[in-house]
Amino acid sequence: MGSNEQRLIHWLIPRLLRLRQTNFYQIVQHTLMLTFPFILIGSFSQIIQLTVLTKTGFIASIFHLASWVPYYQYLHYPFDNLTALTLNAVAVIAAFGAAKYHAHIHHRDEQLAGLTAALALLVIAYQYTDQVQLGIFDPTLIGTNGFTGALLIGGATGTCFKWLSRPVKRTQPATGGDILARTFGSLLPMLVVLVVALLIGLSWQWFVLVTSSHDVWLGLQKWAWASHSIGVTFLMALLTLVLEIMGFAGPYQQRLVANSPSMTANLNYALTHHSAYHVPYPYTADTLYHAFGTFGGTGMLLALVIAIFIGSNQHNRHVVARWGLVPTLFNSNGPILTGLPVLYNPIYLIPFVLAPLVNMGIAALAFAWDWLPPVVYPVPTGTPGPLIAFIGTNGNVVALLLGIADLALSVLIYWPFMRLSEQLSVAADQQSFKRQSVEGGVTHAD
Amino acid sequence: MRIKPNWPRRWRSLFILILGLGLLGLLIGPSYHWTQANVRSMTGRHDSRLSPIIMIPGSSATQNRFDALVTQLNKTDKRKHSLIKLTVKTDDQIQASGSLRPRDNEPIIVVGFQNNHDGYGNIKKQARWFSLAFKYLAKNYQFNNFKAIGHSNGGLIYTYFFEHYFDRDDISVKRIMTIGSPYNFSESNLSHKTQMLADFIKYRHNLPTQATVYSVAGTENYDSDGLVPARSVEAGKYVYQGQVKHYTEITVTGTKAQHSSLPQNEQIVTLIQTYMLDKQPKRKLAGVSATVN
Repeated sequence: MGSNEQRLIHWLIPRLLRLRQTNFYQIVQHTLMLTFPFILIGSFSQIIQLTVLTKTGFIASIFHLASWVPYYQYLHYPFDNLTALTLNAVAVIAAFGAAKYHAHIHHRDEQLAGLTAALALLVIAYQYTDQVQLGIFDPTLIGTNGFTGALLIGGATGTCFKWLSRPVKRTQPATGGDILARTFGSLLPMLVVLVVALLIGLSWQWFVLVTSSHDVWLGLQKWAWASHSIGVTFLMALLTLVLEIMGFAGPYQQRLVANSPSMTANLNYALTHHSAYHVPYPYTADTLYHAFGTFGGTGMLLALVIAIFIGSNQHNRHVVARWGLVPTLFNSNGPILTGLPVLYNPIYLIPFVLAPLVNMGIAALAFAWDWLPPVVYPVPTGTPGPLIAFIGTNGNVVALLLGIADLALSVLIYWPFMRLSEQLSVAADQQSFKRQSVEGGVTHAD
Repeated sequence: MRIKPNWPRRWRSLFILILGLGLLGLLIGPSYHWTQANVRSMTGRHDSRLSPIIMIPGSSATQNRFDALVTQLNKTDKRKHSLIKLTVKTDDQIQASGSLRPRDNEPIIVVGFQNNHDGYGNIKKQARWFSLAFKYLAKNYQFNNFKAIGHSNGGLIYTYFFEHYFDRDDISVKRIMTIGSPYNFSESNLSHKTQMLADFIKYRHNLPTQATVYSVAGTENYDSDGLVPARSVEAGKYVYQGQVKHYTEITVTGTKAQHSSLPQNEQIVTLIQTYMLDKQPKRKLAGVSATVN
């Protein structure tokens, strides 16, 4: 494997280095790191909320928590709150970060730029309604699915500050007059950003009202979940995976339909015949994608965590993987997506898409050859990936073995890309270190 | 440029990994038990032939409201339906009396409320209390379908319950009969919609689409049963028609067509018998595979 890999690395390193040195990459990197701790806290809170403190959650179900834990029905409230304001509001932090680092690079007032971008996102996500309700911000815009939108808003705000305000001197300590001058200097871009955000927000509302595009999207999601053609299932899974790594939400990302018609038909068939073999719709989102393609959340990231544990030499990755293990065991992929990062990372695009699809393909073959019955029985929320098929087939041992084999196979799929990413970052660090010392010398000579 | 692995760090990570996978392994056993028990209970419910009739009396009536009706039904039916009565107290406690006789697949269950007052606010409360009673019934009796009968406000409570509380996918309602239910309260002009009727229409999309609904009106003269205007009963079509599988309006006149006598009206007893009760299985066919069509 040596020479080919070396050649590939030699070809990739200059390109990656060039990418790394762009402002864009720097800003995205920094922003992802800024959101990571919030996502980590939010993911832990969400896991507790969904698997332990929700009656239909995994831990709650198998240990029958609802029947013996005192005050069980009230315990989830603090975690609802924590999750809502960390994980489900993380785009606000991303908008803040993107604008702040953008302004930092161009020597503009970074605090004001960041706060303005965060506010601008909230202005756009504001839902105009004449009813008093609690969630007044559009959850898809301020949650993890709004990541890319937030980066765009942050970037636009930073650009606005770059064009419309003067550079600030970072001479400390600043006097009162300096601060006042800075504030007034930033007033114009702030106003422009907020007014534009208002207009975008209003026209977005109008657009959604007029075209009912929200309903169209919901319809697509419902259709995707209800579909039982093997081709559509694979296509929708592919779409979901590609969209997810680019920071958007795909059709399979949320389990909207608790009971799609195909799932109900399958379950009824299995209950009537006392066997899950030969159900009417064996190849659906539930039987294939959810049961075999989401170990550790979208993209089989549990496999990447294991690959890092076994083969990585970088301290940072080990730390991220250790913190991310528990969330990925319960299918929450946020910490790994932003911590490594996997999000926007072209190296991981191939395994991120490939691993789930390969596993789905194996599962489809196993169904076709009657190795195991399709996954038709209910599975609690947050069930660890390798156990989903086991529970969903009423405890079929082959399903458990297939789950473990799938996990091992996914580790193998992720392995070379994990190594590649590692070698690239080591090589890139070395080169950029060299270049920095050279550039450093030049600056001193100026 | 091979870097020497940092072994202590790697061992630490591997230790955590083994811990994590060990945890996963420990969860296999409980998972197995849970899914086996879950599938067993689902199968039990799915295979169950129990199909109760659940009745809700109108305002100011108790769980004993339908005693006469049940006696009449049993007499003409020559079957003895078990009678189970529940009362939901204002503090959400449920009191039950009566029991299911063995081999009775069609018990009659009456749900009354301690607070049985009239008014939209009370109907909302009673619908919530009914949802508690329904949960109790679903837990204690394994049935996968039932028939609903509501007299007067009972029909309104049912409507509110179906629109706001009923979301079981393992239990379906086959038939609904509301008897003299004033969907527009005492308002006989249909262009004056009460708040309750407006709400019923607003949330009608939640009504069960597979159910067959009968709305029975009684009339003493041409426009009222003495208490509820016939037009108010008729307003039920704006709620149910086009949303449920079938919606049928029936008007009963003659003796005992007064609002409160409706549950004892012979015509209505016959209607319940014909439309609501399941057809009597022919006993001799049990165990015989060939059936005569």
